[in-house]
This record gives sequence, C-alpha cells and structure tokens, in this order.
Amino acid sequence: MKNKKLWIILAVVAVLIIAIIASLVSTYNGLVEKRAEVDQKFAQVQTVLQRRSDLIPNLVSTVKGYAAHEESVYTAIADARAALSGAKTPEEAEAANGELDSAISRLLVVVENYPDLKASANFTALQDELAGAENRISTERGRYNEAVKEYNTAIRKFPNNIFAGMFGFTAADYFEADEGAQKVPEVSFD
Amino acid sequence: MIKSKGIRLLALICAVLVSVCILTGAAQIPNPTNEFFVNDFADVISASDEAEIMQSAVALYKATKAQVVVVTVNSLEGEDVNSYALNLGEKWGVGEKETDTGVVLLLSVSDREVTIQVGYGLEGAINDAKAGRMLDNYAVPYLKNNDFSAGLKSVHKAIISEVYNEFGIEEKVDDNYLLSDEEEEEMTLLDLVYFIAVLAVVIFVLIKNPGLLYFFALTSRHSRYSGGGFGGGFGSGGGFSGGGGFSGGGGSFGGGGSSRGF
Repeated sequence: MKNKKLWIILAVVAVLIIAIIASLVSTYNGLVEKRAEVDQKFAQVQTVLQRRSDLIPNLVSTVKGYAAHEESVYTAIADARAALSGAKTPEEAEAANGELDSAISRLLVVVENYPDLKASANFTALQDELAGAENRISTERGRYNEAVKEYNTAIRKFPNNIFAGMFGFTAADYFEADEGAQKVPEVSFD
Repeated sequence: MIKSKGIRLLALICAVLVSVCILTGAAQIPNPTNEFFVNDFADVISASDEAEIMQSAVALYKATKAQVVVVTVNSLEGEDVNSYALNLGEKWGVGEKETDTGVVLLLSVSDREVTIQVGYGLEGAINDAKAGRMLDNYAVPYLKNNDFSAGLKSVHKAIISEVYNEFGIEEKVDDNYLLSDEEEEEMTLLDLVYFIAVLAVVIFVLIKNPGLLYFFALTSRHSRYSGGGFGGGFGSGGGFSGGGGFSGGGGSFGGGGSSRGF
C-alpha cells in the first residue's frame, strides 16, 4: 500500500521534471531562433547601407563635373563611407550612416546652386537611386527593429529572463534613425 | 442598474480603444478588390482603360506569374507614398512568393503623388532610376493635366513590357480583346454568310455536275490533314471574368522603386 503511494509520487515528479526540461529546451531554441532572426535582419540592413554607400562615388563624380571646388563636402563623404565600411556593430553602423546622411544632404544643397546639374538626366537617375536606397534602408531598419523588439521582449519575459541570463542571451540594440539626419544641413558660403 | 453601468463602462472602454487605434495606427490600407490587378478606389480610371490594364496584367500574370497591380486612392492619410505602396504590396502579397516578382503602381489623387514600388525579384528589371524615368516619361505628362486614367495606363504598359523583357518573353498582344463584343458578333455573322454562300455555290455546282464528286473524293484524301478552315475562329476564349477573381501570391518588397509628385 505504502509502496504504491511512493510510486505515484515518483511518477508525478518525473513527469514534472520532463515537462520542465522540455519547456527549457523549447525556450532555448526559441531564443536562438529569435537571435538568429535579429542577426539576419542586421545583415540585411548592412547590405542596404552598403548599397547606398556604393552609389555615392557616381553621385560625387557627377556633381564634381559641375562643382569642383566643394572639397570639404567630398572629404566628409569619403570619411563617412570609410567609417561605414569599417562598422561592425549596429551602433557603429548607425553613427557612420548618420555622418553619411548629413554629408549627402550637404552635397544636395550644393547641387541646388547648379540648375544645369539638377536638370541633367544623369543626376535625376542618381537621385532616384539614392531615394530608393534610402527607402530600402528605412524598410530594412524597420524590420530589424521589429526583430529586435521581439527578441528583447522574449528574453525579458518571465520565466525566460532566468534562462536568458544563464545562457548568455543579452539584449540586442535597436537601429535608430540618426537625429542628425533629420536636421536641415547648414549651408556655408566660405 | 448595475448591469447598465457595466455596459456603459464597456462601451466607454471600447470607444477609447477604437480612438487610440485610429490615432496611433498608420494609414488604413484597403483590401484588394476582386479584380486584384486594378483597384480604382479613387474612381479615376475609365472603364475601357481599366479593361485594357486588367487584360495586359492578367496576360503577364499567366505568362510569368509576375503581378503588376494598379491602385488609386483618394488620400494617403499623411503617410509617405513609398511606404504606403510598400506596405500595401506586403499586405496584399503582390507577386509570387518564391520569386517576389510583384510591382505596385500607386496614385494618390489628393496628395498628387505617384509611385512604382518594385518587389525584390524585379529590382533588376526595374531599378530605381528606371522607375523614376518611366514615371517622368509616361505618367507625369498626363497626370499633370489631371488625365489620371491615361497616365496610369501608359506607365502600366511600360512596366508590363519591362517585366516581359526580364523574363525574355515576347509580349502577346491579344487584339481580339480590344474589339467590342458587337464588332465580334458582326464579324462572325459575316463569316457565316460567306460560308453559307460558298456552300450553296458548291452544292449547286455538284448537283449540276455529279461527276465532280468523285474528283473531290480523290483530292480530299490528300488534303485531309491540312486543317478544316471553318472549325476555329468562332469561339474566342472565354477570358477570366467568370473566375473567382485574383489574389496575391505572397511576394515581398524591400523599398525599391521611385516616386514623383505632379
């Protein structure tokens, strides 16, 4: 009689342990998947950032044909591109991309002074490419942030937050639109 | 008493929730019409242009699985024209899922903006510069004069032919479709009259000279396989109007394309 009770208790404990392990495994796998999603989306963001960066030399050389003496703008663009291609983390990419944003805005301000350039078919095409590149960046950035949000929420929820710490799942960084990008670029006449 | 209070509270909560949704939500993207390829929500496309756009979009879809969708709206509700079209393309799943071959051509009447958004799979065929050039060349000249119908039709035609090029397929122009039903009826009637007239002459000649029958029997053995002239031609394909309509294939968009104000 006593023996039977013991068996029942043992069985219940065994079932509980199995259930806990199973939920641990599925939680862990779920977090791994979400983390991979974040990484994959970040790679996608880098691709579109690079895409825009690759457009710049064409744009610069077209503008240079009309406005050769705007050296400071060209230097700023070159520096930002170099920083972007060296960027490894979202923060670095974000900062470098912000630099590039403001350098491009300055370049476009320069263009305003050259109506012939602005009206040229070549420049129109480049501007379309640039606008498309920016659309792609905002699209992929949105998707990356979406994935980050999902992942960060998952690792903060109870009881995932306990395992997340144990297995080294740390929060991912959002890729914010740089505040400088929204600023109206300064025009200098020196 | 208590019950009615509870209901009032519930109603209040619902009202707050709804207004929060309206305030914070992005522009409400409409659902596609049954035609799917033409969604003239702003009602600016003429019936004949709509039929023509529909016909060429369906032909392209049948030949390549690519989906080119035309949408007109009255207002973007404050949203950027590119992201509106992109979200619409994603939501409707324009283009085939595996290849992402979809294009959305969106016009907003009150914002006076037009955009071409290109799915991942067609970014090579219609790059951003080309999309911009197509809008400049084919759409904007008409749209400036408020001829939305002609502008959309003309740029749509250009998009369709670019997609055919991408697939390396000759565009099939189905002239039959462009004829109205009436004309088609007249033609078949005329054919019938000719047919009966010829038949009457043949029968008349045969009655007069029965010996010819033997001659025809001999020659017909050779021409048996050359096809029977009158068989085809009368039943021009039933088309697609009867079906259950079209829907998206699940294609995805990444922000390629271009837009113009006009």
